[in-house]
Amino acid sequence: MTVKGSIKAVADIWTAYYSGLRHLFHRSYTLRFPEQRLVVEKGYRGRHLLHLDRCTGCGICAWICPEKCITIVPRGERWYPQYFYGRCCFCHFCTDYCPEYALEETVEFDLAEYTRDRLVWSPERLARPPAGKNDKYVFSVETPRGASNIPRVGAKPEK
Amino acid sequence: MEKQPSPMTSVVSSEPSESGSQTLTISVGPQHSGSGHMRLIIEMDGDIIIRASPDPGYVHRGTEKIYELRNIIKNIPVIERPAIIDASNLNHAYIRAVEELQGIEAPPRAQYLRCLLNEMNRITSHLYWLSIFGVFLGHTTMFMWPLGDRELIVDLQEKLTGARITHSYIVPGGVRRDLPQGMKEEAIKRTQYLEKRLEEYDKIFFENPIFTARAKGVGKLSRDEAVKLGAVGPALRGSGVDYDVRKDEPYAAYPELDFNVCTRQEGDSYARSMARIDEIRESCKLIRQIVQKIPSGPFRRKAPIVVPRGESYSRVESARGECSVYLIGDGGDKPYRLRFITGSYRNMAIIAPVLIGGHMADMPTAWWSIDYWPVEADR
Repeated sequence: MTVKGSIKAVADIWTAYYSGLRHLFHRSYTLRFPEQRLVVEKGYRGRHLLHLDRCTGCGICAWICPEKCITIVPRGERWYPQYFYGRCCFCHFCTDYCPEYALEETVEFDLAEYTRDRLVWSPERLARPPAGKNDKYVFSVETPRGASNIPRVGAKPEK
Repeated sequence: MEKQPSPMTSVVSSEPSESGSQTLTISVGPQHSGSGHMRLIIEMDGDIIIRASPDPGYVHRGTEKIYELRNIIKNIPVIERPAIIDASNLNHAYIRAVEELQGIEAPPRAQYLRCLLNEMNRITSHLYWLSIFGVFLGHTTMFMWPLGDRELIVDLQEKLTGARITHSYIVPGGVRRDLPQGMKEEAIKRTQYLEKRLEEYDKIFFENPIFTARAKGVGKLSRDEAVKLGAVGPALRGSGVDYDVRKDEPYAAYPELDFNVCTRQEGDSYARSMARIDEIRESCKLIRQIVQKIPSGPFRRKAPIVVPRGESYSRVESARGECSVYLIGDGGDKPYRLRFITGSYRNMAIIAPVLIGGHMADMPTAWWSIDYWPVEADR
């Protein structure tokens, strides 16, 4: 390697180090989940919300479900869908195809359970509104300071 | 007859093939040791690879049979599964084949929205590749940064479709949702930021002498060989062939959009890598063009749920190259036969020529520059 080449290599390595080290002073991408949570916008395809008064039990949701995770179960005189979230792929074709608009998508996404049977959501459980989570952070992109998660406007600061 | 090394043994020292020389056959994979979920049987003479044969099939799930058992809507989430980081491009190829048989065409706004999601998917797929490429070359920062910046685009996809990676967004007759409010400004801001980040990637990685020494001149694939073996995607364009389905056989809204096909002449690992980085830049420009030029009107029209009798063929440019779907319908709601060929499957042919003649230490650079995705290839 020539002298000129060596000087260029040293300069390039220094540039690489410098551009990495500069990021020590940038805000971080990540959040300490679950203590800190990102605001999930409306329209996110999370778990389903079932409106019991609108559902006619026609079973179109069970027919279109690609994963066959919906079972239509009786409740007195009427029939309602029951979801097995161990199989659901959250495509929400059921919501799209429901002729009565009885299904809705919610922003609730953390559905992990300790046992398999807890993943079966009965119509009554599906009808519950999504639990209010303490979502405080939003994703923000600023050209000088980089991409990061910042506290939402109006959110209370953490103790 | 020449004695073949046993493929069942992980390390085999074979008989001397020439006088005074002895070769060593090693098996890279199928546990993910830098190979992906597939195996490479590599025969070495000293440190030089003299034979390399890919052994795919470890993640074969028979998807083509599964498609025959489900109706066309239920097929959408399954068609995305072979390459979840590039889901919408595969889905687009399938939906175009279905629409061709049904004789319908999506409205112009839907065509633009499809292209928007496809370009975002191309960026996320290339950034995912870049992070893997970085970590297998021992550059941990290059593993972290692209995955972090990928979040910018994944977030946009979530805003548009409601899902982060497997969108199921493109359906026969159009798309499932319209462009949300604030998407235009956010898309412009984030793509501009990503372009700035790519300059930093250049400084820390692509112009880094340690990387260039490892990538330049490694894994050479000549233009003629790439054409002869039927390489597609950035692996082909890295060898200087100006072929892109988006330009050569334009579909959806691409005829109305202005973009360049990114080629590099050298045909080595560095050229293939840079072809992808150039493509990210072009995709950023395309996203900004799409959100500014998108026409108003409906985004979905009614489509039947049957596949009429007949056959159709469609191809799109996915992140790893040309993805084609050949569909036969028999009048029912399920495909009679669906042949599905992805970019990685075609690029399997260039694995051996790229690796042979190189050092074993250069294997990760040459191998990952192809961006071979075993799940997509095995299907």
